[in-house]
Amino acid sequence: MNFASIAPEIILTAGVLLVMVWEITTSGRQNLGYLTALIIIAAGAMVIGQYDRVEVGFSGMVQADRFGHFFRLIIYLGALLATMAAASSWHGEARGVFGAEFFSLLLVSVIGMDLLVIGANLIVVFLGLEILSLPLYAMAAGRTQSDTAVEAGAKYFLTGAFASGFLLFGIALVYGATGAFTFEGIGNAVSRGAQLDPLMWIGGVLLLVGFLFKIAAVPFHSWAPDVYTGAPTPTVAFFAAAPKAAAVGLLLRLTLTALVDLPMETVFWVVAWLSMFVGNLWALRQRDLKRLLAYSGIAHIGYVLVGLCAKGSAAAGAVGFYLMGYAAMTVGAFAVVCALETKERAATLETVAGLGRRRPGIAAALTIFMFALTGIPPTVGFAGKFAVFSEALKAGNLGLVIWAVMFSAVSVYYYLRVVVAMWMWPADESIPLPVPRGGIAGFGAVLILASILTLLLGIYPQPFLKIASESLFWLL
Amino acid sequence: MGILSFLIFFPALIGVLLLVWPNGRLKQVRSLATVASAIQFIASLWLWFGFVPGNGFQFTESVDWITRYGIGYRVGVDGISLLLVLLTTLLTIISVVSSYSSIQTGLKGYYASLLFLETGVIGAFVATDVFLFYVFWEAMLIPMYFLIGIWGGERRIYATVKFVLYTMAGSLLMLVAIIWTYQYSGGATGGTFNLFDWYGLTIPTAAQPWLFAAFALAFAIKVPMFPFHTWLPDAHVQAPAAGSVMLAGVLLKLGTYGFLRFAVPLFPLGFEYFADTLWILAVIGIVYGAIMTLIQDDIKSLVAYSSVSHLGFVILGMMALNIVGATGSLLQQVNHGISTGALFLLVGMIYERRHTRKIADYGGIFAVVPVFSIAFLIVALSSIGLPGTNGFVGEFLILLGAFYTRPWLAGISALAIILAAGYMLWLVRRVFFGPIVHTVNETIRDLSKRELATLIPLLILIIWIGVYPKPFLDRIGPDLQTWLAKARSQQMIQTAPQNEPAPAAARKATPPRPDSTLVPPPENETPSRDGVAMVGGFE
Repeated sequence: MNFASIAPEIILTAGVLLVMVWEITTSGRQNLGYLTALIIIAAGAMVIGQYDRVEVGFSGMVQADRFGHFFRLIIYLGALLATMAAASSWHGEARGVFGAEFFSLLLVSVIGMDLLVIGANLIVVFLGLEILSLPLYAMAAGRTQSDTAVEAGAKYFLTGAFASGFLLFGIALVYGATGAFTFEGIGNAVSRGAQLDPLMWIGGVLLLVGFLFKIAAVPFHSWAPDVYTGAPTPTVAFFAAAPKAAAVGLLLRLTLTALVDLPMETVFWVVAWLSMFVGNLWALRQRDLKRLLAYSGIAHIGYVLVGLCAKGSAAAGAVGFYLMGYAAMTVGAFAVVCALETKERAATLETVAGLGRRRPGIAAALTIFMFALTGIPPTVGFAGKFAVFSEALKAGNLGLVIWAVMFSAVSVYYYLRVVVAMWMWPADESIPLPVPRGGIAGFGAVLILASILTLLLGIYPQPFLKIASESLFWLL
Repeated sequence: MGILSFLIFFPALIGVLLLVWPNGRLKQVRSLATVASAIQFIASLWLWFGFVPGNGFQFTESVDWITRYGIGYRVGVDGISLLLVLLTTLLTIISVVSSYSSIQTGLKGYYASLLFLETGVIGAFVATDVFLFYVFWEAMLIPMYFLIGIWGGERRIYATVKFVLYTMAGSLLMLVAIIWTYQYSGGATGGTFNLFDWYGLTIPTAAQPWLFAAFALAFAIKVPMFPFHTWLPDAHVQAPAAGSVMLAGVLLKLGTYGFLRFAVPLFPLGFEYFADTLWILAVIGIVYGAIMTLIQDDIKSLVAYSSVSHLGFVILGMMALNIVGATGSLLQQVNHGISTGALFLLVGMIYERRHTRKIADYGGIFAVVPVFSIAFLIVALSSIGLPGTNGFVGEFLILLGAFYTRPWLAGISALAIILAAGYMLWLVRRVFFGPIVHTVNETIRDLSKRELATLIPLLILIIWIGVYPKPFLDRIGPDLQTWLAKARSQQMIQTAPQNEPAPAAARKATPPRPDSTLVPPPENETPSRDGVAMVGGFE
């Protein structure tokens, strides 16, 4: 019983209760978001405090090593930015939604993500996945008056349950083949020869499939665009980064420690290939920004998986760095969408037309995020792609990298179209912009923080790359 | 911080300052941009006077940047990049001053874009770290994209998206090749992006054509070489005048510079493999560009198409792979920047007055605007390559060099000069001479003092380089010798051991390298290698 190993999660759990009590005892929901942000920051401080220590607890069920610490911080970064975007969502309807239930569900979900990246046992991993997913289902259906939101919630729930089924079945088969739930035990069994067992093969692939669902990789992606469109945007901002970081972190730990000698790269290779293809091509014809970002997210998971195809800690470091940058740029972009949509009108290309003249500050921030998502230097989008592709080439995946850059070139078109609309199309003054001209403090803070991270990680990536790759040595 | 870092970061700093400058102070914005680009130009003169010919890379700086991947902030300038950097700073201040009257909206963003563009271009010219080069190479797309897309003509959005898509598509494959070479440079110790280390690599023969092709595609799109030129007329015609000046004057040079600095010396065997293709494409570009130029009815697209032809000459000189051709090629890059830059300026000035670029809308305006007409005439003659102007020196050297290597192709290209005289003089006749058909043309204002001031430096350079090119040639000569050695030596080393008939030895004796008095004598080359190396495997 080493409670230090789950100290940040204890803080988060206390935070869940605090948020709920706070709403009952005080009036004014506006501050709930900032309270949640503070709780996440406190948990992050806890992680940083024990960053150099390895805490193993609960009979080895949980292993909070540097890898876990690093991925927890990425998750917190995504959650923090999304919380701040939600906190400053001001339009009338949203004020009803983003009350205590939203923020407490968000915190619960973060606890689940933490368990995914520090779990050293498949049972803990399954628990983590469920703790992560259940709040997300509820958050997706958060706008209870809206049919699309309910549809989004239902769709997400059904596919999610399906994925959990895959995962459980995979766990059962792996247990049948190896007799172990712990990553270490599975790894030992595999190196003793269990990788020849077909049960192990099928079980391993099913395990991966369960998580590929969560990160919306092709062909397990079809829920993402609809759920993104229907769910409230701050929820989507949270969806887009944090759960993906957690699931990718788990996949890294799983393939590097448990399924060591199995050729799981093949699975990643196929999925990466398809994700880049589908994500980028389907994004070309989207005019709704949320759908565009949904497909862009699928494409980016493809780039991340290019890194997963290259085994080894260096590649995993590049993947960690990529996820850090992706959290900043994609949550930033969703925060802008939050600010532009109204109850009646989704944010489309027409909404952002002429934004450069109507709201120059917001347009400048969205421009930075779009260039980053495209992968143009000096943003983290470029540095991240460079690091991932570099490791992939080192591992000899030349064809995959060429495929990836070809589709990066395709993606230039749809990201650039948003920028074109903002700066070069005439403004349609009849479209209302809910953001007041002066902006809102919390919202401005999200944009500034995300823009600074996007540029800083792009211009001076060295320390972040170093932290990311050092965290991965723990796995080998 | 050295002078090169100043030249790279100062404009970007002022650009950021401009973006956050309070609204509504247009005069201040203009003055700030002008002063900054003037400081920048004066600072760059330091390079001209401080440069010691033959000392290789100078003013070098090296700071670790991303040590994990062997990336450093490494910059330096040699004879190949020196003149191009100076051209950039000169054309930037001219662009800034020339935009006083033509640009009336969004001044802050406009001048900031011009200055960011200057940062990107200079950074790319002086980077001696391949990663750093790539960063600047891509980053400079962003300001150019906004310059065309916001301040351009009617079809500006189409033009700017086409420009970016073309360039990105080529660049990304180059990125793969760059990363591949980096991984190859690694071995046990971890790789590096240091260009000087890359020059020392012995890259496998089988990989070189692929790597060269990936680099060459990116550069060929930028040059642009036939058949990758289709973005150029759109971008040029739609860009604002200053944007065209920067695009034609310096951005296109990055393509040819890329060949000289990276593609050819790094992968000489790949270069050899594609030599025939490049020769043919260069000649097609020259002739096709000239023919397309003849049939344009819009002054600006006429100048744009003439660039395709002129840049073909630049490639031709490089392909000759001898010192005469290479010198001509490099000098012609500068010449094209000056002449075509000046032509776009002049077109922009007349467009401001009449708001039309159609040739048919003019005619007989020589008497109305004599100063403008004389300036246009001088620049047009320099573009044709009249003796006494800079164009002559460059094209003559290129053709001389090319003639020693591929007489037939050089001969065909020389014919294009006649076409060039045709389209330019015909343009001049239709615009400036004959009767005044449209009465509105009778009241065009002649050049103002400000406009004249932007042209005079370019006119001086046209005559200076035409009459006395020695100071320029002195500075570029020695480094081109080094370049030739790199571009040729590896072929000798690598082809020799494979027991095939040695390419050069099997061929008939070739004429000795011409010993032009315009070119400083080679210092570190043995005469015996000349005849052999010059055509080594190139026929």
